[in-house]
Amino acid sequence: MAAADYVFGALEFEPRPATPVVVEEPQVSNVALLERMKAGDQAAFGALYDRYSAMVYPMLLGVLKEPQAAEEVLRDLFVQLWHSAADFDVSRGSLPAWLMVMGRTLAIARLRMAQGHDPEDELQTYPAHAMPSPFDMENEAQTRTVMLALRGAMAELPEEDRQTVELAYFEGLTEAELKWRTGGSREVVNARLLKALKSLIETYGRTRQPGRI
Amino acid sequence: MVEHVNLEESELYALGVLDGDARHAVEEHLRACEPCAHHIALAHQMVSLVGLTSAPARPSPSVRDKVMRRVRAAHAEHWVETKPVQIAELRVQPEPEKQPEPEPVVQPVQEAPDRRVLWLAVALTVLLAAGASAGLWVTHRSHQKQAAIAEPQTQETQPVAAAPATAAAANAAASGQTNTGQTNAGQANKGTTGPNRAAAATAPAAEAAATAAASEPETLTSALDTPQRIVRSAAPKNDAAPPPPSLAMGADLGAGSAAMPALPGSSAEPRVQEAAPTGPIRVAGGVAAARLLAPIQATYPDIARQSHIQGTVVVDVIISTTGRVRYSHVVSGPALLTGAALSAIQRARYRPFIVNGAAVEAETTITLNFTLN
Repeated sequence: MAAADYVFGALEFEPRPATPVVVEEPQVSNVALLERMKAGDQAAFGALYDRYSAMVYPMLLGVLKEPQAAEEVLRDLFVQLWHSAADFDVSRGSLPAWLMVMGRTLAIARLRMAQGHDPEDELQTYPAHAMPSPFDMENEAQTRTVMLALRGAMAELPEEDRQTVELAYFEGLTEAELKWRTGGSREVVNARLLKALKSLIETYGRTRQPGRI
Repeated sequence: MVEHVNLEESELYALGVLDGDARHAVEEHLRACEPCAHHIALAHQMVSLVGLTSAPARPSPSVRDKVMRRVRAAHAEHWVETKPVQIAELRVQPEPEKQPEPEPVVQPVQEAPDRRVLWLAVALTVLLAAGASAGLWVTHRSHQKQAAIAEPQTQETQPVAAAPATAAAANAAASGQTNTGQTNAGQANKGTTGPNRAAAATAPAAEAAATAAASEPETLTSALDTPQRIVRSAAPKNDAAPPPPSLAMGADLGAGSAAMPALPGSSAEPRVQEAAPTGPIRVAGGVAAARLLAPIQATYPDIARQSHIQGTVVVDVIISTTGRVRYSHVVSGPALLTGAALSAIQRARYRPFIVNGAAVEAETTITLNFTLN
Protein backbone atom coordinates (compact mmCIF):
# COMPACT_ATOMS: atom_id res chain seq x y z
CA MET A 1 0.00 0.00 0.00
CA ALA A 2 1.36 3.33 -1.02
CA ALA A 3 0.54 5.02 2.23
CA ALA A 4 2.76 2.66 4.13
CA ASP A 5 5.78 4.28 2.52
CA TYR A 6 4.85 7.53 4.04
CA VAL A 7 3.93 6.05 7.33
CA PHE A 8 7.23 4.44 7.82
CA GLY A 9 9.30 7.29 6.60
CA ALA A 10 10.60 6.10 3.24
CA LEU A 11 10.61 9.69 2.06
CA GLU A 12 12.63 10.86 4.94
CA PHE A 13 15.05 13.02 3.01
CA GLU A 14 12.68 14.64 0.59
CA PRO A 15 11.70 18.22 1.16
CA ARG A 16 8.51 18.96 2.92
CA PRO A 17 5.51 18.95 0.58
CA ALA A 18 4.14 22.25 -0.55
CA THR A 19 1.69 22.78 2.24
CA PRO A 20 1.37 26.18 3.86
CA VAL A 21 4.45 26.68 5.95
CA VAL A 22 3.70 28.00 9.35
CA VAL A 23 6.58 29.29 11.37
CA GLU A 24 6.22 27.83 14.79
CA GLU A 25 7.82 28.67 18.01
CA PRO A 26 9.93 25.80 19.15
CA GLN A 27 7.66 23.77 21.29
CA VAL A 28 7.90 21.13 23.91
CA SER A 29 7.43 17.62 22.56
CA ASN A 30 4.53 15.45 23.56
CA VAL A 31 6.90 13.05 25.23
CA ALA A 32 8.33 15.79 27.41
CA LEU A 33 4.88 17.05 28.31
CA LEU A 34 3.66 13.55 29.08
CA GLU A 35 6.64 12.89 31.29
CA ARG A 36 5.97 16.09 33.17
CA MET A 37 2.30 15.23 33.44
CA LYS A 38 3.19 11.84 34.87
CA ALA A 39 5.19 13.65 37.51
CA GLY A 40 2.06 15.58 38.43
CA ASP A 41 2.72 18.77 36.47
CA GLN A 42 -0.66 20.34 35.85
CA ALA A 43 0.71 23.03 33.56
CA ALA A 44 2.06 20.36 31.23
CA PHE A 45 -1.32 18.69 31.28
CA GLY A 46 -2.93 22.03 30.47
CA ALA A 47 -0.59 22.44 27.52
CA LEU A 48 -1.63 19.04 26.21
CA TYR A 49 -5.25 20.03 26.54
CA ASP A 50 -4.58 23.21 24.58
CA ARG A 51 -2.74 21.26 21.95
CA TYR A 52 -5.35 18.59 21.34
CA SER A 53 -8.77 19.76 22.44
CA ALA A 54 -9.36 21.36 19.04
CA MET A 55 -8.39 18.11 17.36
CA VAL A 56 -10.63 15.80 19.39
CA TYR A 57 -13.60 18.05 19.95
CA PRO A 58 -14.83 18.25 16.34
CA MET A 59 -14.86 14.46 16.21
CA LEU A 60 -16.81 14.25 19.47
CA LEU A 61 -19.25 16.79 18.12
CA GLY A 62 -19.53 14.77 14.93
CA VAL A 63 -20.58 11.74 16.94
CA LEU A 64 -22.78 13.38 19.52
CA LYS A 65 -24.11 16.37 17.53
CA GLU A 66 -24.71 18.39 20.68
CA PRO A 67 -22.01 20.74 21.98
CA GLN A 68 -22.90 20.12 25.59
CA ALA A 69 -22.61 16.35 25.32
CA ALA A 70 -19.41 16.65 23.31
CA GLU A 71 -17.90 18.97 25.88
CA GLU A 72 -18.74 16.60 28.68
CA VAL A 73 -17.08 13.74 26.90
CA LEU A 74 -14.09 15.95 26.15
CA ARG A 75 -13.80 16.75 29.81
CA ASP A 76 -14.07 13.10 30.82
CA LEU A 77 -11.52 12.12 28.23
CA PHE A 78 -8.89 14.52 29.50
CA VAL A 79 -9.61 13.74 33.12
CA GLN A 80 -9.13 10.09 32.20
CA LEU A 81 -5.86 10.97 30.51
CA TRP A 82 -4.65 12.56 33.71
CA HIS A 83 -5.65 9.54 35.76
CA SER A 84 -4.12 7.04 33.42
CA ALA A 85 -0.89 8.96 33.06
CA ALA A 86 0.96 6.33 35.03
CA ASP A 87 -0.03 3.67 32.51
CA PHE A 88 0.97 5.68 29.52
CA ASP A 89 4.14 4.35 27.99
CA VAL A 90 5.46 7.43 26.27
CA SER A 91 7.97 5.46 24.26
CA ARG A 92 5.21 3.33 22.73
CA GLY A 93 2.07 5.34 22.89
CA SER A 94 0.95 8.10 20.62
CA LEU A 95 -1.11 10.59 22.55
CA PRO A 96 -3.20 11.99 19.68
CA ALA A 97 -4.08 8.46 18.61
CA TRP A 98 -5.05 7.54 22.12
CA LEU A 99 -7.21 10.64 22.41
CA MET A 100 -8.94 9.99 19.12
CA VAL A 101 -9.59 6.31 19.75
CA MET A 102 -10.56 6.65 23.37
CA GLY A 103 -12.60 9.76 22.66
CA ARG A 104 -14.57 8.01 19.97
CA THR A 105 -15.16 5.03 22.25
CA LEU A 106 -16.53 7.25 25.00
CA ALA A 107 -18.65 9.26 22.61
CA ILE A 108 -20.18 6.24 20.90
CA ALA A 109 -20.85 4.63 24.25
CA ARG A 110 -22.71 7.73 25.28
CA LEU A 111 -24.58 7.87 22.01
CA ARG A 112 -25.65 4.25 22.37
CA MET A 113 -26.68 4.82 25.92
CA ALA A 114 -28.82 7.78 24.88
CA GLN A 115 -30.46 5.58 22.28
CA GLY A 116 -31.20 2.99 24.90
CA HIS A 117 -28.80 0.39 23.54
CA ASP A 118 -26.40 -1.66 25.51
CA PRO A 119 -23.21 0.12 24.52
CA GLU A 120 -21.12 -2.95 25.11
CA ASP A 121 -22.73 -4.77 22.25
CA GLU A 122 -21.02 -2.59 19.73
CA LEU A 123 -17.84 -1.54 21.39
CA GLN A 124 -14.60 -3.33 21.64
CA THR A 125 -11.71 -3.16 23.97
CA TYR A 126 -8.27 -2.46 22.72
CA PRO A 127 -4.88 -1.77 24.18
CA ALA A 128 -5.48 1.89 24.74
CA HIS A 129 -2.03 2.60 25.99
CA ALA A 130 -0.16 0.74 23.34
CA MET A 131 -0.91 2.83 20.33
CA PRO A 132 2.23 2.66 18.27
CA SER A 133 3.87 5.84 17.27
CA PRO A 134 3.40 6.89 13.64
CA PHE A 135 0.23 8.84 14.23
CA ASP A 136 1.64 11.88 15.83
CA MET A 137 0.69 15.47 15.38
CA GLU A 138 2.60 17.64 17.69
CA ASN A 139 1.28 21.06 16.98
CA GLU A 140 -1.94 22.70 16.10
CA ALA A 141 -0.84 24.02 12.73
CA GLN A 142 0.12 20.54 11.59
CA THR A 143 -3.15 19.22 12.84
CA ARG A 144 -5.10 21.91 11.05
CA THR A 145 -3.26 21.19 7.80
CA VAL A 146 -3.97 17.50 8.09
CA MET A 147 -7.59 18.04 8.93
CA LEU A 148 -8.06 20.40 6.01
CA ALA A 149 -6.54 17.91 3.58
CA LEU A 150 -8.61 15.06 4.99
CA ARG A 151 -11.81 17.06 4.68
CA GLY A 152 -10.91 17.71 1.07
CA ALA A 153 -10.32 14.03 0.43
CA MET A 154 -13.57 13.12 2.08
CA ALA A 155 -15.46 15.66 -0.03
CA GLU A 156 -14.04 14.14 -3.17
CA LEU A 157 -15.26 10.66 -2.35
CA PRO A 158 -18.33 9.35 -4.11
CA GLU A 159 -21.36 10.19 -2.03
CA GLU A 160 -22.18 6.61 -1.06
CA ASP A 161 -18.62 5.88 0.11
CA ARG A 162 -18.52 9.02 2.19
CA GLN A 163 -21.91 8.38 3.69
CA THR A 164 -21.09 4.77 4.56
CA VAL A 165 -17.83 5.53 6.29
CA GLU A 166 -19.37 8.43 8.18
CA LEU A 167 -22.23 6.28 9.40
CA ALA A 168 -19.76 3.66 10.53
CA TYR A 169 -17.39 6.02 12.25
CA PHE A 170 -19.65 8.70 13.70
CA GLU A 171 -22.70 6.62 14.44
CA GLY A 172 -20.94 3.41 15.28
CA LEU A 173 -23.09 1.31 12.96
CA THR A 174 -22.17 -2.30 12.31
CA GLU A 175 -22.18 -4.16 9.00
CA ALA A 176 -25.75 -5.30 9.42
CA GLU A 177 -26.97 -1.83 10.25
CA LEU A 178 -24.98 -0.33 7.40
CA LYS A 179 -26.53 -2.80 4.99
CA TRP A 180 -29.93 -1.74 6.14
CA ARG A 181 -29.19 1.97 6.11
CA THR A 182 -27.36 2.17 2.80
CA GLY A 183 -29.04 -0.64 0.93
CA GLY A 184 -25.84 -2.33 -0.21
CA SER A 185 -24.77 -5.92 0.36
CA ARG A 186 -22.18 -6.77 2.97
CA GLU A 187 -19.47 -6.89 0.33
CA VAL A 188 -20.50 -3.56 -1.11
CA VAL A 189 -20.58 -1.94 2.31
CA ASN A 190 -17.15 -3.25 3.20
CA ALA A 191 -15.70 -2.24 -0.13
CA ARG A 192 -16.99 1.29 0.33
CA LEU A 193 -15.57 1.51 3.81
CA LEU A 194 -12.16 0.24 2.78
CA LYS A 195 -12.07 2.49 -0.25
CA ALA A 196 -12.87 5.54 1.82
CA LEU A 197 -10.26 4.63 4.40
CA LYS A 198 -7.66 4.03 1.73
CA SER A 199 -8.25 7.44 0.28
CA LEU A 200 -7.92 9.10 3.67
CA ILE A 201 -4.78 7.16 4.53
CA GLU A 202 -3.14 8.15 1.28
CA THR A 203 -4.10 11.77 1.72
CA TYR A 204 -2.73 11.67 5.21
CA GLY A 205 0.52 10.24 3.94
CA ARG A 206 0.87 13.01 1.35
CA THR A 207 0.09 15.72 3.83
CA ARG A 208 2.43 14.68 6.53
CA GLN A 209 5.91 15.91 6.92
CA PRO A 210 8.04 13.12 5.50
CA GLY A 211 9.16 10.67 8.07
CA ARG A 212 7.13 12.28 10.79
CA ILE A 213 3.80 10.67 10.64
CA MET B 1 -8.08 -19.95 16.67
CA VAL B 2 -8.53 -17.95 13.51
CA GLU B 3 -5.80 -17.15 11.08
CA HIS B 4 -3.94 -13.89 11.25
CA VAL B 5 -5.99 -10.79 10.87
CA ASN B 6 -5.50 -9.22 7.46
CA LEU B 7 -5.36 -5.52 6.72
CA GLU B 8 -8.97 -5.23 5.63
CA GLU B 9 -10.25 -7.11 8.63
CA SER B 10 -8.19 -5.06 11.01
CA GLU B 11 -9.53 -1.82 9.56
CA LEU B 12 -13.11 -3.04 9.66
CA TYR B 13 -12.56 -4.24 13.19
CA ALA B 14 -11.12 -0.91 14.28
CA LEU B 15 -13.98 0.88 12.61
CA GLY B 16 -16.24 -1.23 14.77
CA VAL B 17 -18.42 -2.58 11.97
CA LEU B 18 -17.69 -6.29 12.40
CA ASP B 19 -20.69 -8.11 13.75
CA GLY B 20 -20.72 -10.54 16.66
CA ASP B 21 -18.94 -13.66 15.53
CA ALA B 22 -16.42 -12.02 13.26
CA ARG B 23 -15.54 -9.55 15.97
CA HIS B 24 -15.16 -12.21 18.63
CA ALA B 25 -12.96 -14.26 16.33
CA VAL B 26 -10.65 -11.29 15.86
CA GLU B 27 -10.57 -10.55 19.57
CA GLU B 28 -9.84 -14.13 20.41
CA HIS B 29 -6.96 -14.13 18.00
CA LEU B 30 -5.59 -10.83 19.25
CA ARG B 31 -5.21 -12.08 22.75
CA ALA B 32 -2.68 -14.58 21.61
CA CYS B 33 -1.02 -12.81 18.69
CA GLU B 34 1.12 -9.81 19.36
CA PRO B 35 1.89 -8.88 15.74
CA CYS B 36 -1.80 -8.78 14.97
CA ALA B 37 -2.47 -6.69 18.05
CA HIS B 38 0.06 -4.24 16.70
CA HIS B 39 -1.73 -4.26 13.36
CA ILE B 40 -4.98 -3.47 15.02
CA ALA B 41 -3.49 -0.60 16.94
CA LEU B 42 -2.26 0.83 13.65
CA ALA B 43 -5.66 0.27 12.10
CA HIS B 44 -7.23 2.20 14.97
CA GLN B 45 -5.04 5.12 14.08
CA MET B 46 -5.89 4.94 10.42
CA VAL B 47 -9.57 4.78 11.22
CA SER B 48 -9.16 7.86 13.40
CA LEU B 49 -8.47 9.82 10.22
CA VAL B 50 -12.21 9.70 9.56
CA GLY B 51 -12.69 11.57 12.82
CA LEU B 52 -10.34 14.28 11.63
CA THR B 53 -12.62 15.12 8.72
CA SER B 54 -15.12 16.80 11.01
CA ALA B 55 -15.74 20.49 10.52
CA PRO B 56 -13.53 22.62 12.76
CA ALA B 57 -15.03 23.47 16.11
CA ARG B 58 -13.76 24.54 19.47
CA PRO B 59 -15.08 23.63 22.87
CA SER B 60 -16.10 26.50 25.08
CA PRO B 61 -13.31 27.77 27.34
CA SER B 62 -15.19 26.67 30.43
CA VAL B 63 -14.41 23.04 29.59
CA ARG B 64 -10.74 23.68 30.19
CA ASP B 65 -11.51 25.18 33.58
CA LYS B 66 -13.62 22.20 34.51
CA VAL B 67 -10.93 19.77 33.48
CA MET B 68 -8.27 21.64 35.40
CA ARG B 69 -10.45 21.88 38.48
CA ARG B 70 -11.00 18.15 38.48
CA VAL B 71 -7.37 17.46 37.96
CA ARG B 72 -6.43 19.73 40.82
CA ALA B 73 -8.93 18.03 43.07
CA ALA B 74 -7.68 14.60 42.08
CA HIS B 75 -4.12 15.70 42.60
CA ALA B 76 -4.91 16.80 46.13
CA GLU B 77 -6.62 13.51 46.86
CA HIS B 78 -3.63 11.63 45.64
CA TRP B 79 -1.93 12.25 48.93
CA VAL B 80 -4.80 11.18 51.09
CA GLU B 81 -4.32 7.68 52.31
CA THR B 82 -7.93 6.89 53.02
CA LYS B 83 -9.55 4.41 50.73
CA PRO B 84 -13.15 5.49 50.66
CA VAL B 85 -14.52 2.62 48.71
CA GLN B 86 -13.55 0.28 51.48
CA ILE B 87 -16.60 1.59 53.19
CA ALA B 88 -18.66 0.16 50.44
CA GLU B 89 -16.72 -3.02 50.82
CA LEU B 90 -18.08 -3.44 54.29
CA ARG B 91 -21.58 -2.99 53.06
CA VAL B 92 -21.38 -5.43 50.24
CA GLN B 93 -21.52 -8.86 51.70
CA PRO B 94 -18.94 -10.79 49.73
CA GLU B 95 -20.15 -14.01 48.30
CA PRO B 96 -18.19 -17.03 49.44
CA GLU B 97 -14.81 -16.34 47.96
CA LYS B 98 -13.23 -19.74 48.06
CA GLN B 99 -14.44 -22.45 45.85
CA PRO B 100 -13.03 -25.93 45.81
CA GLU B 101 -10.01 -25.57 43.60
CA PRO B 102 -9.02 -28.22 41.15
CA GLU B 103 -5.36 -28.62 40.50
CA PRO B 104 -3.67 -26.59 39.19
CA VAL B 105 -5.11 -23.67 41.03
CA VAL B 106 -5.92 -20.27 39.64
CA GLN B 107 -7.09 -18.20 42.51
CA PRO B 108 -8.28 -14.64 42.42
CA VAL B 109 -6.54 -12.64 45.08
CA GLN B 110 -9.12 -10.47 46.72
CA GLU B 111 -7.17 -7.49 47.86
CA ALA B 112 -4.30 -6.33 45.74
CA PRO B 113 -1.61 -4.33 47.50
CA ASP B 114 -2.64 -0.76 47.13
CA ARG B 115 0.36 0.80 45.53
CA ARG B 116 -1.52 2.61 42.85
CA VAL B 117 -3.80 5.29 44.12
CA LEU B 118 -3.42 7.04 40.80
CA TRP B 119 -6.67 6.02 39.20
CA LEU B 120 -8.62 7.92 41.81
CA ALA B 121 -11.50 9.05 39.71
CA VAL B 122 -13.05 12.37 40.33
CA ALA B 123 -16.01 10.69 41.90
CA LEU B 124 -13.74 9.56 44.67
CA THR B 125 -13.11 13.11 45.67
CA VAL B 126 -16.70 13.30 46.51
CA LEU B 127 -16.81 9.92 48.14
CA LEU B 128 -13.79 10.76 50.18
CA ALA B 129 -15.35 13.88 51.52
CA ALA B 130 -18.27 11.76 52.49
CA GLY B 131 -16.20 9.06 54.07
CA ALA B 132 -16.93 10.42 57.51
CA SER B 133 -20.63 9.92 57.63
CA ALA B 134 -20.71 6.77 55.59
CA GLY B 135 -18.10 5.40 57.90
CA LEU B 136 -20.20 6.24 60.85
CA TRP B 137 -23.10 4.44 59.32
CA VAL B 138 -21.02 1.37 58.84
CA THR B 139 -19.74 1.55 62.36
CA HIS B 140 -23.19 1.88 63.68
CA ARG B 141 -24.45 -1.00 61.70
CA SER B 142 -21.63 -3.19 62.77
CA HIS B 143 -22.44 -2.44 66.38
CA GLN B 144 -25.97 -3.38 65.83
CA LYS B 145 -25.11 -6.58 64.18
CA GLN B 146 -22.43 -7.27 66.74
CA ALA B 147 -20.18 -8.00 63.85
CA ALA B 148 -16.48 -7.95 64.38
CA ILE B 149 -15.59 -5.60 61.55
CA ALA B 150 -12.39 -3.78 62.21
CA GLU B 151 -12.08 -0.56 60.24
CA PRO B 152 -9.79 1.91 61.97
CA GLN B 153 -10.44 4.70 59.51
CA THR B 154 -14.11 4.74 60.21
CA GLN B 155 -13.53 4.92 63.92
CA GLU B 156 -11.85 8.29 63.67
CA THR B 157 -14.84 9.94 62.12
CA GLN B 158 -16.65 12.60 64.05
CA PRO B 159 -20.24 11.90 64.94
CA VAL B 160 -20.82 15.64 65.28
CA ALA B 161 -19.99 16.29 61.69
CA ALA B 162 -21.90 13.31 60.52
CA ALA B 163 -25.15 13.91 62.32
CA PRO B 164 -26.65 16.85 60.44
CA ALA B 165 -25.38 15.56 57.19
CA THR B 166 -26.81 12.13 57.64
CA ALA B 167 -30.06 13.72 58.60
CA ALA B 168 -29.88 15.63 55.37
CA ALA B 169 -29.25 12.47 53.49
CA ALA B 170 -32.21 10.82 55.10
CA ASN B 171 -34.31 13.77 54.21
CA ALA B 172 -33.07 13.79 50.67
CA ALA B 173 -33.84 10.13 50.39
CA ALA B 174 -37.27 10.58 51.86
CA SER B 175 -38.11 13.53 49.67
CA GLY B 176 -37.20 11.55 46.62
CA GLN B 177 -39.59 8.77 47.44
CA THR B 178 -43.23 8.33 46.69
CA ASN B 179 -45.85 9.71 49.01
CA THR B 180 -46.20 6.45 50.80
CA GLY B 181 -42.52 6.22 51.27
CA GLN B 182 -42.35 9.71 52.63
CA THR B 183 -44.98 9.21 55.24
CA ASN B 184 -43.61 5.94 56.30
CA ALA B 185 -40.15 7.34 56.63
CA GLY B 186 -41.52 10.11 58.78
CA GLN B 187 -43.24 7.63 60.97
CA ALA B 188 -40.17 5.59 61.20
CA ASN B 189 -38.28 8.61 62.40
CA LYS B 190 -40.90 9.33 65.00
CA GLY B 191 -40.93 5.80 66.15
CA THR B 192 -37.23 5.73 66.59
CA THR B 193 -36.96 8.92 68.61
CA GLY B 194 -39.12 7.41 71.27
CA PRO B 195 -37.88 4.14 72.62
CA ASN B 196 -34.42 4.05 71.16
CA ARG B 197 -32.67 7.37 70.73
CA ALA B 198 -29.34 5.84 69.98
CA ALA B 199 -30.66 4.17 66.90
CA ALA B 200 -32.51 7.27 65.78
CA ALA B 201 -29.46 9.50 66.04
CA THR B 202 -27.89 7.77 63.13
CA ALA B 203 -30.10 8.96 60.39
CA PRO B 204 -28.87 6.47 57.81
CA ALA B 205 -30.92 3.92 59.63
CA ALA B 206 -33.91 6.04 58.85
CA GLU B 207 -32.66 6.48 55.36
CA ALA B 208 -32.33 2.76 54.92
CA ALA B 209 -35.82 2.49 56.26
CA ALA B 210 -36.98 5.08 53.77
CA THR B 211 -35.40 3.14 50.97
CA ALA B 212 -37.11 0.03 52.15
CA ALA B 213 -40.32 1.93 52.55
CA ALA B 214 -40.32 2.84 48.91
CA SER B 215 -39.91 -0.72 47.82
CA GLU B 216 -41.88 -2.54 50.50
CA PRO B 217 -44.05 -0.28 52.60
CA GLU B 218 -45.86 -3.13 54.31
CA THR B 219 -42.70 -4.54 55.79
CA LEU B 220 -41.93 -1.21 57.32
CA THR B 221 -45.36 -0.63 58.73
CA SER B 222 -45.33 -3.92 60.50
CA ALA B 223 -41.91 -3.15 61.88
CA LEU B 224 -42.71 0.33 63.12
CA ASP B 225 -42.67 -0.56 66.80
CA THR B 226 -39.21 -1.95 66.67
CA PRO B 227 -37.02 0.38 64.70
CA GLN B 228 -33.97 -1.75 64.97
CA ARG B 229 -35.68 -4.48 63.13
CA ILE B 230 -36.35 -2.08 60.31
CA VAL B 231 -32.72 -1.56 59.88
CA ARG B 232 -32.02 -5.21 59.88
CA SER B 233 -34.71 -6.02 57.45
CA ALA B 234 -33.57 -3.21 55.21
CA ALA B 235 -29.93 -4.03 55.31
CA PRO B 236 -29.91 -7.19 53.21
CA LYS B 237 -31.90 -5.42 50.53
CA ASN B 238 -29.45 -2.62 50.17
CA ASP B 239 -27.46 -4.37 47.52
CA ALA B 240 -30.41 -4.75 45.29
CA ALA B 241 -32.06 -1.41 45.99
CA PRO B 242 -31.16 1.13 43.31
CA PRO B 243 -29.38 3.78 45.41
CA PRO B 244 -27.05 2.08 47.88
CA PRO B 245 -27.36 4.24 50.97
CA SER B 246 -23.73 4.84 51.73
CA LEU B 247 -22.82 5.78 48.19
CA ALA B 248 -25.88 7.90 47.61
CA MET B 249 -25.31 9.62 50.87
CA GLY B 250 -21.68 10.07 50.13
CA ALA B 251 -22.43 11.80 46.92
CA ASP B 252 -24.92 14.01 48.59
CA LEU B 253 -22.51 14.97 51.28
CA GLY B 254 -19.57 15.65 49.11
CA ALA B 255 -21.03 18.78 47.69
CA GLY B 256 -22.81 19.65 50.88
CA SER B 257 -19.71 19.61 52.98
CA ALA B 258 -18.35 22.68 51.26
CA ALA B 259 -21.16 24.66 52.81
CA MET B 260 -21.18 22.77 56.03
CA PRO B 261 -24.44 23.67 57.74
CA ALA B 262 -26.34 21.82 55.08
CA LEU B 263 -29.79 21.79 56.50
CA PRO B 264 -32.20 19.01 55.73
CA GLY B 265 -34.49 21.47 54.04
CA SER B 266 -31.95 22.77 51.56
CA SER B 267 -32.49 21.57 48.04
CA ALA B 268 -31.12 18.11 47.59
CA GLU B 269 -31.40 17.84 43.84
CA PRO B 270 -28.67 20.19 42.62
CA ARG B 271 -26.21 18.62 44.98
CA VAL B 272 -26.92 15.20 43.65
CA GLN B 273 -26.26 16.45 40.17
CA GLU B 274 -23.04 18.09 41.13
CA ALA B 275 -21.82 14.95 42.74
CA ALA B 276 -22.66 12.53 39.98
CA PRO B 277 -19.35 10.91 39.09
CA THR B 278 -18.32 10.88 35.49
CA GLY B 279 -15.10 8.92 35.36
CA PRO B 280 -14.87 5.35 36.54
CA ILE B 281 -14.91 5.04 40.30
CA ARG B 282 -11.93 3.31 41.82
CA VAL B 283 -12.96 0.15 43.57
CA ALA B 284 -10.85 -2.08 45.79
CA GLY B 285 -10.26 -5.58 44.42
CA GLY B 286 -12.34 -7.19 47.15
CA VAL B 287 -15.33 -4.97 46.49
CA ALA B 288 -15.29 -5.78 42.83
CA ALA B 289 -14.86 -9.48 43.53
CA ALA B 290 -17.92 -9.41 45.75
CA ARG B 291 -19.97 -8.21 42.81
CA LEU B 292 -18.90 -10.94 40.46
CA LEU B 293 -21.80 -12.99 39.21
CA ALA B 294 -19.52 -16.01 39.09
CA PRO B 295 -15.93 -16.47 40.24
CA ILE B 296 -13.28 -15.78 37.65
CA GLN B 297 -12.12 -19.15 36.35
CA ALA B 298 -8.96 -19.14 34.34
CA THR B 299 -7.72 -22.19 32.55
CA TYR B 300 -4.13 -23.03 33.21
CA PRO B 301 -2.41 -22.94 29.82
CA ASP B 302 -0.91 -26.30 28.95
CA ILE B 303 2.33 -24.80 27.85
CA ALA B 304 2.70 -22.95 31.14
CA ARG B 305 1.95 -26.09 33.08
CA GLN B 306 4.45 -28.10 31.11
CA SER B 307 7.14 -25.52 31.63
CA HIS B 308 6.23 -25.16 35.30
CA ILE B 309 5.45 -21.51 35.00
CA GLN B 310 3.65 -20.17 38.03
CA GLY B 311 2.96 -16.65 39.05
CA THR B 312 0.61 -13.81 39.61
CA VAL B 313 -1.04 -11.82 36.87
CA VAL B 314 -2.17 -8.35 37.82
CA VAL B 315 -4.68 -6.72 35.50
CA ASP B 316 -6.24 -3.29 35.66
CA VAL B 317 -9.78 -3.33 34.36
CA ILE B 318 -12.64 -0.97 33.81
CA ILE B 319 -16.00 -2.53 34.46
CA SER B 320 -18.69 -1.00 32.32
CA THR B 321 -22.03 0.24 33.48
CA THR B 322 -23.50 -3.03 32.31
CA GLY B 323 -21.11 -5.06 34.41
CA ARG B 324 -18.78 -6.24 31.70
CA VAL B 325 -15.07 -5.70 31.51
CA ARG B 326 -14.71 -3.11 28.82
CA TYR B 327 -11.02 -2.40 29.16
CA SER B 328 -8.23 -4.54 30.51
CA HIS B 329 -4.58 -3.84 30.81
CA VAL B 330 -1.99 -6.26 32.12
CA VAL B 331 0.07 -4.57 34.79
CA SER B 332 2.36 -7.48 35.45
CA GLY B 333 2.61 -11.23 35.17
CA PRO B 334 4.38 -14.02 33.31
CA ALA B 335 3.80 -13.70 29.57
CA LEU B 336 2.63 -17.30 29.25
CA LEU B 337 -0.13 -16.69 31.75
CA THR B 338 -1.44 -13.29 30.75
CA GLY B 339 -3.45 -14.57 27.80
CA ALA B 340 -5.36 -17.04 29.95
CA ALA B 341 -5.86 -14.39 32.61
CA LEU B 342 -7.21 -11.87 30.12
CA SER B 343 -9.58 -14.26 28.47
CA ALA B 344 -10.95 -15.33 31.86
CA ILE B 345 -11.33 -11.71 32.85
CA GLN B 346 -13.10 -10.86 29.62
CA ARG B 347 -15.70 -13.47 30.49
CA ALA B 348 -16.28 -12.03 33.92
CA ARG B 349 -19.65 -10.47 34.61
CA TYR B 350 -20.35 -8.14 37.49
CA ARG B 351 -23.40 -6.70 39.04
CA PRO B 352 -23.18 -3.06 37.93
CA PHE B 353 -21.84 -0.53 40.36
CA ILE B 354 -24.49 1.93 41.39
CA VAL B 355 -23.87 5.44 42.60
CA ASN B 356 -26.77 7.77 43.22
CA GLY B 357 -29.11 5.38 41.55
CA ALA B 358 -27.15 5.38 38.31
CA ALA B 359 -24.82 2.70 37.05
CA VAL B 360 -21.24 3.92 36.90
CA GLU B 361 -18.07 2.50 35.50
CA ALA B 362 -15.67 1.08 38.01
CA GLU B 363 -11.96 0.70 37.76
CA THR B 364 -10.26 -2.00 39.73
CA THR B 365 -7.32 -4.32 39.80
CA ILE B 366 -7.74 -8.05 39.48
CA THR B 367 -5.00 -10.31 40.73
CA LEU B 368 -4.95 -13.91 39.59
CA ASN B 369 -2.62 -16.43 41.15
CA PHE B 370 -1.53 -19.30 38.97
CA THR B 371 -0.06 -22.06 41.10
CA LEU B 372 0.88 -25.64 40.29
CA ASN B 373 0.39 -28.14 43.05
